[in-house]
Parts: sequence; structure tokens; C-alpha cells
Amino acid sequence: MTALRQSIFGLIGALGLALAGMPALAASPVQEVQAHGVSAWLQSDPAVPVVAIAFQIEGGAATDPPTLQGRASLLADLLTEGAGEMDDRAFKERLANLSATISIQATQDGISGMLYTLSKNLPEAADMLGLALSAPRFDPAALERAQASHIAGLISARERPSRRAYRAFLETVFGSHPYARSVKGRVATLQKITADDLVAFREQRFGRDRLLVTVAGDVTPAGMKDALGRAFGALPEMAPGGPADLPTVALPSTPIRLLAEMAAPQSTIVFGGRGVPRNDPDWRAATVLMQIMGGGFGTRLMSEVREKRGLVYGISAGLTELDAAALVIGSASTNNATVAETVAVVEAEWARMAEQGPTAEELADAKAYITGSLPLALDSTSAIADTLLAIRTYNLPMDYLNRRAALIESVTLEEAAAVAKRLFRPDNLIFAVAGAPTGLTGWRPIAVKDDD
Amino acid sequence: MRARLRFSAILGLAAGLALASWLSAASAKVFGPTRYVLDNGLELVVVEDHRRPAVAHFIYYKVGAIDEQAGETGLAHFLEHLMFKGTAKTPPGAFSKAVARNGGQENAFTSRDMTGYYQIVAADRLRMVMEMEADRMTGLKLDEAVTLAERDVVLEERLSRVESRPEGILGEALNAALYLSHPYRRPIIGWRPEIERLTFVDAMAFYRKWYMPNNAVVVVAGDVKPEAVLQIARETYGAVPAGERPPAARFYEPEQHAARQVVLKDARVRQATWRRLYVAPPYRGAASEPYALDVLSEILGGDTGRLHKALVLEQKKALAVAFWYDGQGRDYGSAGLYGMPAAGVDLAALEAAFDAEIASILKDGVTEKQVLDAKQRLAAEAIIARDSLDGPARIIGGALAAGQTVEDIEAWPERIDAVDKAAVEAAARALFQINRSASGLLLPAGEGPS
Repeated sequence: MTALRQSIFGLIGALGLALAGMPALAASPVQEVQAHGVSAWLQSDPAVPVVAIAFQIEGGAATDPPTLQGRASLLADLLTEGAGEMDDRAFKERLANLSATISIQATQDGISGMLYTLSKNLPEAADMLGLALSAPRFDPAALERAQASHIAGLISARERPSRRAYRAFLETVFGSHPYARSVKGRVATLQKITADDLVAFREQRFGRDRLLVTVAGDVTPAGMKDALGRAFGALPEMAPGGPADLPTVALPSTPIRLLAEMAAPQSTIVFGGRGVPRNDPDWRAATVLMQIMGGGFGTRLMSEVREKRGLVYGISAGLTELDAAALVIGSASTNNATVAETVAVVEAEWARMAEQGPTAEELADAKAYITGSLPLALDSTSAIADTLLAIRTYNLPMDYLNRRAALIESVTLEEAAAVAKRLFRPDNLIFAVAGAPTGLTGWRPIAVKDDD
Repeated sequence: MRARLRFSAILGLAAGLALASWLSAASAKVFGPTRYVLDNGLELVVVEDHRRPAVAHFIYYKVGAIDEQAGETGLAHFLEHLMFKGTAKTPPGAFSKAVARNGGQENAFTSRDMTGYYQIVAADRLRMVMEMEADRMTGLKLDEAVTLAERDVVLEERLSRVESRPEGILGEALNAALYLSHPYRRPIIGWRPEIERLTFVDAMAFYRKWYMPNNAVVVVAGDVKPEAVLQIARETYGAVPAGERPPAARFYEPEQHAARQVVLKDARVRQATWRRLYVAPPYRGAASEPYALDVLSEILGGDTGRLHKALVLEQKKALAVAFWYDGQGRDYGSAGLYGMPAAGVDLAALEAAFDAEIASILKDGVTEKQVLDAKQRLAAEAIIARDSLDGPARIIGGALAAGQTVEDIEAWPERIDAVDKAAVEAAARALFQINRSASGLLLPAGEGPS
């Protein structure tokens, strides 16, 4: 899944969680704070003396040219490896002595991150984030280390069936679209990326008009205004590169079966197809259906594949959304002798749901789970900031958390059955298997490349 | 996924508890828990956190892989899986379904010393989960078919966690090499031939032997009042009669005289790595040395630590290094070093670089400033530990189930604050004895020592 955006919504989809009515936030409503040309959503709560600032800057790995794959990911690593007057060691020591952490990652669609700090150190910690975003150094030694570390990570993962299966699946469904490429890049392209490439990327992409910010924890609106200036005030008003427009994805509409043969005692199976985007009227019903199909214990896939047959330790499937594509994606691992049986059970469950839809009891249970689970998932300051950021990323309104339960509750059995026919069509089920499975006939072999 | 939580994961939380020199040592409280013991011996701890109308309910049984008999490794973990298969009152899967229907989360985990189950639910659903958890404390009903299907699930779990991962295979061998005799040498998930022979008769016997209120710790954290939780606990867990708890077995590792080395060469390995484990003292029953090891791990490990500075930044011999200390064991703790070599550096050279840095600590010691900085950073972790619903319950439950006390947890600030340079250096000298270690080399096929 590393190639897909793992926003909180992605994770929520994968875990079968969803946003719902929020007693957890009711005590302190979300408010907008504006300062220094930056708008932040803030949920203020002084109970624990910590603050979490989540942010996303539009434009990520999908904007990397094919010759510079991995550029956004290297940049994300290097922003905290020395900035301003501080080299990498000085920067990290300063952060540690503030008891603050800054984590920054590239996704296909953006550069996202979080500052987490004791509230008493917020001004100084926000200064550090400001330096990371606006004055990173890209020292040669730090760049070399980041390249070596990325390359070692890619090489280490080469013989993992899970990586092979996900790569085969994503390369096939996305075809020539940039989403087909790994966020982490390739050995050959990583070696060629220079500090100038990173400087150019940052200067083109970073601007307050491409920035989303959300905050939770022990900070007042006044304190937050000050921190916004420190963290983001030095970014240009407009990113010169403009919007990171990506071509729309044309996902395949045939039931492809891919096999990457490699020596392994257990195969990984990745499966899925076209999903339903958030702005589609069917999205509410699709969310409920995916909870019924693959959301965790007691769902159809877990019951049929694990509980009844003992074929896997875990199996799940959910909706995943990127800026330019929506997918259903699921996975499981099973020993080589039971791959064919596991695939057959998933196919049968897909067909059964398409033909018969869910039962009334399943629908009611899934709605109850989805509407009840979000308040429980907002269990830490960072989880609240992350969830608010996901809402902003999807252009949803500030009170969306309060509306969500009603949206989910409004799904009817008839509607769910109709959407099931669309979502679980047999031609919307692509499988990619990596391992040494027995009994798969007619599957398209995927050459296992050694150059990524 | 329902799973054993790796011991170091539990430990990670507890180790993060070291405390604040700037908090007033006398008044500092970590969680401010309230502790009760029911008439049947069940220990109950409540932590108030009113930030949201939710509650985390954890039960820890003081039984783990350490309590298995020879030939039945994996039984504690297997039973953990089977605990979801229903009772006379609750059909298989109904407990999970009831939790999900209320939007709740649940899972379970097995470690060397304990087995835990938890649910996170709306605060007004606490009675429901306490009733169901109390019911399965003694009411489990199994049959052979269900047991056999679940055994296949565990074998798939073993394939995923261990056999499909060269680092998993090496880790298992390294752990078995670290302990010559102590049952910590067994893998928690069990050895495959022994898992394959576990039966539901074995599972039920183990269950009846160890699952009882007087062998359990319940921790409830969230939007609740202690007296109200006590009342519900009396009405649910309180109705389960105390059992005959077998005497707590203690096991003793003999004096270790020989350093051990384990080598795995595997065609699936593309990037060599090195690690070393040491036997270390546990938190249990100690008030100083483990806390000095917490400070030592902050000085040595992490991306501001001495190992990173020496091996990654200055000598450029490693791409990544780590040092950790895990003190949450009934009998022993452990500490570990890990390194991924830079291109062109072989594992012998990397190991020599680690040994040189350790030698420098033992010869020249640490600085006063390193100790002060480390204590200050550890202080913040105790505050951050309060910033989640379930974190406090995990920390308290894990510590109590391993033989620590509520007082030990609340005394963390003072004990970390009391660590000085001499204590860190003495703890390092006691820890870094090569004859009490096992080193592991993971290599691509055809490379390294033959």
C-alpha cells in the first residue's frame, strides 16, 4: 500500500472505520483560525499539555518525472535533516530537547506531515517546522544518506511477496498513469536525484495557496495564530508551479489475473478494482458495503476465509481514494497450496454480494459500526488533527463530522443492493498473486524485475 | 488483527514512561490510578480520562508462553485465539459482533508472561463488555472442528510472521540462543511441529488451570468514575468464584559463560543486517538499575544518540542503528543492538564499530549533559503517555501482570530523576558483557562467514 495515499481516510477505509457523529468533539467545536495568509482548523482542548499540527502541501510523488522517481519522497525525508543554521545533528538535537517530533512523508498526491510537541514548547517547535519547510539545507552528506537509505529499503523489499503483489496490482490497474510508479522511487532514479532537483521541487510546489492545516490540543486561537506565522509564514503566498493537475485514470474493466512467481512458503494475494469516489452519490452505500464485505472480524471475507476455512490469518478490503482515482483494494496471505481456494472464495463472495446484496441485519450492523466507531477512533490529539486534515483534503465542510452519521443512516437496503451490482461486478475484480502457488491455471505471468 | 503483541511492543510503551526532572518529584503523578481488589482476588485499576465519552477495558491474565509445558509451545497464544469461539451464553463470534455493533474496537495479544484482551467502547457500554468478558473467563465452550480450523489460522499466522520473513526466522533462533535454559527461549507463537499437535483438550486444560479472577488484572481507562466501575466489576467479575491458582513458577537462567552467534544466509535476503541481544534486569522489584538503563537507551539509541552519531554520521559504517532496553519481564529483561551496514561495509566491520563505541562508554563513561538531556526527554514521554485512551491501560495492565505495582508506575518520575552519571555507567558495565549475549547475522545466500 505504500504507493497509495495513506491518509487517515485511507486507513479508516482499510480498518472499516468511518466518520460519524462526534460526541467526542462536541465539547469543543472546530473553529477556523486565520493568520499570515494561512487558514487552520483548530479543535482546542487543554486536557493534556500537547499540540498536534497536521498539514498537507498539494503535489506529491505523482508529479515526479519518470527519470526522477522518488524525488518527493527524498525531499520529505530531507526536510528534517538540517535547516537554517543547523545541520542534521543540530536540528535533531534541538527538536529532541524541545520534546517535539516532526514527521513528513510523501504520498502520490502531496507532502504531508505532523508537528507534535509539548504545548509549552509550541513557539520554538513551530519555528523548527518553519525552517524545515522554508529553509531546508539538503547538505550533500544528508542527501547521500537519504539516497542510500531509500535504496536499501527498496532492495530489502525485493523478495517480499507482499511488495511484489502490490506492485503488480498497481502497475496493472494504473497502466501509464503516474500512480503506477512507486512513491519510493527506483534504485536507478534515486541515484540521479540532485540537491538542485529537490530545491526546484520545493520552490515550485510549496506555497500557502497549496497548503492545508489542522490543529488539535492545548492551544488557544491566539497561540495558534502565532504558531501559524512561525511554521508557515515564510512560504510564498502562491506556489509558482500552480495546481498539481493529474490526468484522470482509466482503470481496466476486465477481470485480470496476474501471477508473479517467486520462491516463498506463503503467497500474498492483492485484489480489487474500481472504487467509488467520495463525490459520487453511491459513495455512502459503497462505504457500508465494504464494511460488510471486508471490514474486519465478523465480515463476509473474514467469516468465510478465516473463521470457517482457516485459510488465512487476516483478510480485509476497503475503499481507497486518491486525487485522480478511486479503488477497492484488499489483501490476504496464505500458504501456496491454498491460494487457489482462497481466490475462489473471494470470487464467490464478490458474486454473492453482487447478486443478492446484503441482508437487512448486515446493513443495520454495518451502519451501527460505522456511526459508532469514529468518536472512539479520535482517541489522541494527533488522531484528531489527522482526521480534520482528511476532511479538509476531501473538501468537506467543517461540520462534516456531525453530518456523517445521517449520511450513513440514509442508505437503504434497495440502494445497497443496487450499488453492490456496480461495485462487485465480476469484471471489476483483478487479482495479483506473488509467491509459488499451486493450481492457478491461465494466469498472466508477471516477470519479477530486479530494477526497482 | 488478533495477535500477540510483541513483547518489545508492550515494553515500548512502558519504557516510554521514564520521567520529568522538571516535574516536582514529590507531587508528580503519571496516571493517578485507583486500585481495588475484589473478594475473589481480581485486581481492578481505574484511570479517569474524561476527554471523550469512551472507555478502554483491558483484562490481563498472568499467564503466557513461559507457563507452557515442554512440547506444547504456542498453547497460550492458541488459547487466546480460541477465546473468541463462544461460551454457553454467547455463540461463537457474538462477543465480537456485539462490540462492533456498538462501534467498538477489540483485540487480544499474548506475550511471554501474560495474555491480554481488550475492548474500546462508548462509556455506557462498559457493563456489556465486562459481563461478556467475565462470562468467558470460565465459560468457554470448544469443539474439535472449531479448534482445528483455528489451528490452521495460527499456522498461517506463523507463516506470515516468521517463516516468510528471514528476519523472523533469525529472530527466533537468536532468542533461543540468548537463553540457555529459561523458557523465554521459546517463541511465543510456538514451534511449528508443536503447534500442529495442539488439541482442544490441551487448550481446555490450560484454560482451566490459569483463567480465574485471582490470576487476572482488569484496567479500565476513560470517562468513568472509579466507584461506579467497582460496582459493575463486583456485579460481573465478582460473580466468578476464585480458582486454585498454581504457584507462580520462577525460572532461573544459569550463569552464561560463552558468547553466542547465530548466522542465517537466505536467498531472500538482499540487505545484510546485524543485531545482538543481552540478558538484562527486569523492572520488577527494582528501583534503580532498570531506570538507569532507560536513561542509557536514550543516550545511546535514537537519531540523536551516540551510536547514530558515531556509526551513521561520523564513520558512515551504518545506514541505520538502534539500541533498546526492555525491562518488562517476570524474570528477566533484555536489551538489543541493531545495525544495517552502509554499502561496502561487511558485518564484521560493523560489529567492530559497535563494540568500539560500547568500549568507549565503558572506559570513558557518559557526560553529565548527556544524562540531563536524556532525563529531560524521558520526562516528556510520561506526559505524552496520557495522550491516548488505551495507552495508560496498556502500560498499567502490562506492568501489573509482570509483577510490578501501581506504586512502581507512579514512582517513575522520581526513579528516573534519581538516575545519575554513575548509575548509568554502572548499569552499562553490568549490561554489556559479551558472555551474556547472542549476536545474529542476516546475510544474502553466499555471503559472509562460511
